[in-house]
Amino acid sequence: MNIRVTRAIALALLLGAGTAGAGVVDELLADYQSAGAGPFDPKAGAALWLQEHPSPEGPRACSTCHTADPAAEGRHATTGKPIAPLAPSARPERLSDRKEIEKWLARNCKWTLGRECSAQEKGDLLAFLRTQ
Amino acid sequence: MKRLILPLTLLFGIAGLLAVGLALGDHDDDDDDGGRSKSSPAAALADPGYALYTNECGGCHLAYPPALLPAASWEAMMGGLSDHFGDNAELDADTAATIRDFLARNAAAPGAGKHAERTWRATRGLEPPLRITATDYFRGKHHEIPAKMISDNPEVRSFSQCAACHQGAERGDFDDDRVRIPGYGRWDD
Repeated sequence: MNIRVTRAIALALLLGAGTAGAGVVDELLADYQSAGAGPFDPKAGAALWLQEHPSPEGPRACSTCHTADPAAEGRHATTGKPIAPLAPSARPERLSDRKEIEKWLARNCKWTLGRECSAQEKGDLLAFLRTQ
Repeated sequence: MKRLILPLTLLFGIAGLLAVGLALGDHDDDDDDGGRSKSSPAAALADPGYALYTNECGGCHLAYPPALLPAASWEAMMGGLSDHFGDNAELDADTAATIRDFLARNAAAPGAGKHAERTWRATRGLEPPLRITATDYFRGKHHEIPAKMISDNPEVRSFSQCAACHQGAERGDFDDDRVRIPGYGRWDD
């Protein structure tokens, strides 16, 4: 292949890596499904969003930092740093980067629930958040 | 893939040089602290690992200038991200490696600027501190500030919130003259 074309493709891939587009949530849901989970329910995701889990520092929920409304700006429970809205309606680039979604689900399920979320829980949450 | 390596290396090399030039140029413009060396913060801002560092670590808190802790502290921090002051801050292996190298290159060390050098001196030979606020250098600089301005001040809440009073903290600017304590204004010591 022409080296200039190769370089252009490589650059496009690099630049595009952060904004994978609308299909990312569908891809993840398909993955969870092939892991045995599903169907996914936005209502179950909405309930999980607000559900409180006990911890030595007091009850924790997704909404502790993100607020009850995913379209609102949140605040980190410890540091107070503002957290931009998670809802794609408020911030279109949300839920468009697979790596980001997986990283934050892994970290924040451990903080909030004290364990990793199941494929079903992650699917329900994404099904809920994509409608917000 | 091999054919890609050279053009990509050149691309990133040029981007890196541009970033260094921009950061140094910018730094010179607003540096009015009497010419004291601040080479370390400038070097950290121009470092190719800086963008990843601010993006990952700065998601939850101020991206603390790495010169405020010695390399051994950062190494310990990066080894314990699954319990990061009570939070889970795990990173994938590649990201963690890039950030670990960035921190090591820009940590407190002799000859790396005023704060870096004094932090290094204050922590030399000790168990590496995990908190910037736990170094004798930090304590010596802040011990006269009353609780009403920090822990009892809802706009500050803790000494961990550097940028509440040092508005240029993320750039490594901790000049006394530019301190503004919310609700109190300048700090005159």
